[in-house]
Parts: sequence; structure tokens; C-alpha cells
Amino acid sequence: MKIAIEEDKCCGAGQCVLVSPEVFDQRDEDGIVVLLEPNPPQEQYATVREAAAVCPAAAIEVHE
Amino acid sequence: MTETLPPMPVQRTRPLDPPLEYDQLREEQPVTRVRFPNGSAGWLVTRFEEGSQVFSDPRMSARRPRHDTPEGEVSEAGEEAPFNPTFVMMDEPDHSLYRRLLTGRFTPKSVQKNLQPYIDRIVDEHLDAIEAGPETFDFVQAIALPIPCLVICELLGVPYEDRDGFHHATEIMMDMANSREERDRGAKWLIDYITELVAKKRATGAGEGLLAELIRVADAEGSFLTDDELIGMGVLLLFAGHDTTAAMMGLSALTLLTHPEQRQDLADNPAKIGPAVEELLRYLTIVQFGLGRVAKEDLEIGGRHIAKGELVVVAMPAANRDPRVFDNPDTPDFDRKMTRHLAFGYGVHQCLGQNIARAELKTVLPRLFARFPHLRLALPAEEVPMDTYGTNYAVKKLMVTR
Repeated sequence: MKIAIEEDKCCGAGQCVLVSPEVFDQRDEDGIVVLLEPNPPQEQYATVREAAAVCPAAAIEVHE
Repeated sequence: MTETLPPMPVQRTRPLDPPLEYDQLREEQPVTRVRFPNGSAGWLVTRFEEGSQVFSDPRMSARRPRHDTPEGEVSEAGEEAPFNPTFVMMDEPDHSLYRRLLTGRFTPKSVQKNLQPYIDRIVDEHLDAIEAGPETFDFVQAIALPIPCLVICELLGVPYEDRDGFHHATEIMMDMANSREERDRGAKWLIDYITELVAKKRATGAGEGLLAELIRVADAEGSFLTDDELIGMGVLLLFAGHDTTAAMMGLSALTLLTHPEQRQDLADNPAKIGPAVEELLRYLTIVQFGLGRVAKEDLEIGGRHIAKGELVVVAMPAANRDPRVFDNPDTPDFDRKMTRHLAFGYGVHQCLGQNIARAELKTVLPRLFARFPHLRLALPAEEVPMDTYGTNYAVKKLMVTR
């Protein structure tokens, strides 16, 4: 799995961090998404897919 | 000649369910033309996927006219509020420029670190006060209103002793049973209040809180943030930050008090509080008249042709009960497998304060029922007075016995 994020699209809602805190974080100053783990281990796949689906701004792209 | 159209459903039959006409619309005309409460015409979307599409399509503009105002009160986009709504009515890239001034203070991490200890403390204090007071009390005045007011005051740096003033002004402004003049008086009170507070903070060297941070942004050399925008954002944060969560808290308590099975489930499984709060948000969806967008060009939603300039309203209470997405949608189920809901909207405008609302609900609800295991309604459920005209659906008063 490969994850790509688009910072420009991110609206800082924090949904990805709630679902998948091991893979996503947010910058302190403006809440923009930070990718902690661009190639997550298999056990994270389900939550990463959910984070992409839940993102209101469609800022997370998952390639499998 | 005006088009003959069916009205948007607004009358509830059951207090916790959206108008029953939505069930038929969702099945037969999920994207359909209606007459809105103020008499303007446009499209109403009642399904989940189509609603999500409206909120996330960049061809849909957030700069929209009101649709939920009283009969005959139609205004242009951006003309309906006497304060500057800033990013709420902006599209990209301007929207992000303004919203990002705030987002850092609304992340789950920031809420957990900066607000959760405060929420823990005030909730316990308010529960102590209930325990020391009369056996029968109004949950709205005892918890549902003061907790969100205290939290938004703490976040913004607004004095809590001013709460009666700003809450009363918010109520007047948000009540669609009031005339435009009356509602504008409420808004004007909030504008004057924030204007004075900003002046005071400037005079004394700003200090703590989000309002002070915004003042520092506005006062920086070459800043894009004008005073009009700064005050608009302050007004917006103050009323949106307390009225919504207060409404959600009162309705959540009523839901648990009238659903003993779900209440027991939560008491037996405290770890379910996260999913329970999401389910209550879905089930109750307080933004009862939905949210509008305007098509910036001709486009299609759910197979219907929407012309450039037309208003499209997503009825989130209907979309969040869409059986295509939620099994048994009319029953609150804390074991529901749910990825997302539309209670906070969707797209880049999704509720900024959602993580604060979650933190407050997740703290109040389990502690309330743990502290008062015999808590019950002091009157029959059907006699609980509901705020049917508010932008946010709510209980006006919730008399309970501990």
C-alpha cells in the first residue's frame, strides 16, 4: 500500500487522525495533515482505507 | 409566474425523527425541486451519497442564500447576516486561507491537550452542583447549556460572566419564528459585543485565547485579515461554538432517557462511548433544515440536471437515515458499523468544531448516567418542549429527576 496526501486540499477536520493515528498526524499550527507512515504495515490497511473514505476533503489517496 | 412546487418538509410527527415525508422523497424523488420555508425555489437532496456529492463537488459554491428563513424573507447570498460570515461563505482558495487561521486549535490533539482537562473539571463540578441541589432539575440549564458556553469562552478568551447576554442574543438570532428585524437585533448584539471585546483586548495587550491570536494576525504588518473579518469570525465562533453542542447534548440525554436498552448498553460497555456519540450525531442530526450550496455551472446530481445559479439544499437529517447506507436507520444502535455520517456536513466546510463537540459529549454523557443511575424524565417524553423553529433542533427544557 502506498499513501499520497494533498496538503492543499486538507481542511484540518482531523478525521484521519481519529481513525488511523499511527499513520496520520496534523501540524500544530494549522492542522494540516502529516503523513507519518507512507508505506504502512498490512495490519494498518483497513484503518488507512477508512481514513481515506472519511476525509471530507478527499485529501488522502490510497494505492494498492 | 411562480412555479407550483411541493414544500420542503419541516413538520415532525415524532420528536426524535425527521419529518416522515422524507422517507417517501428519499425513495421516489431523492433530488427534487421544492419550495423552501422562505418561499424560494430550489433542489432538495435526501439521499446520503448524493448529499455527500453536493458537499464535496468544487463546482458547488458555499456562497448561498438562506432558505430556512421565515416565509417571504428571501435575500441574496451574503446579504442575510449583518456580520461578515468569512470562510463559511467562501470557496477555495480563499476559504482555506481563513479556515487555516483556526484549524490548529480544533484538531483532536489540540482539543485533548488544551481543552479536555478543563472539560473534565467543569463537568465534574456541574455534576457535584446537581447532586447538592434539588432532586428534579432542568438538564439544559444545569449542563447542556453551561458546559458548551464555558468551553467556547475558554477557547476564545471570552469572559464567562457574559454568557447570559451572548446566549440570549444567539437564541434570538437563530430562532426562525422571529422576524428578520428581531434576528438582526440578536446578531447586532453579538457584533457589538465582540467589537468591544476586541477593542478591550487590544488596549490591554490582547492576552490569551483564540480571539487574541486572531487579533495578533490582524495586527501583523501587511495582514490580509481585516477587522470586519476578525469580528465576523469571533461572532461565528461564539454562537456556533455553544448553540450546536448545547442542542446536541440535550437531545442526546433525551434519547438515552427514552431508550433504556441503549442506555444500559452504554452503562455496561463504557468503551462504546466513541461509537455511541457518532451514532447519536447521526440519529439526531440537529441541523434540521439542512445546508445549501449553489451550482457554479450546469451539472448533474443523482441524474437530475441542475442549472448554474440554482440552490441545492442537502437535508442531512434525511440523508443520515438513508437505508442504503445505514441498516435500520431509525434505531440508535451503538454497534453500528459506520464509516461516516453527515451530521457535521462534508467537504472542506465540514464543521470546524466537531472535535470539541465530540470531547464534550463523550465526557458529559457517561458521567451523567454513571453519577445518577436512576436519572429519569420528570414528565412524559411527549411533553418535553422542543425547539422546532431553531436552526439547530433542540429541547428547550429537559426536566429530569436524579
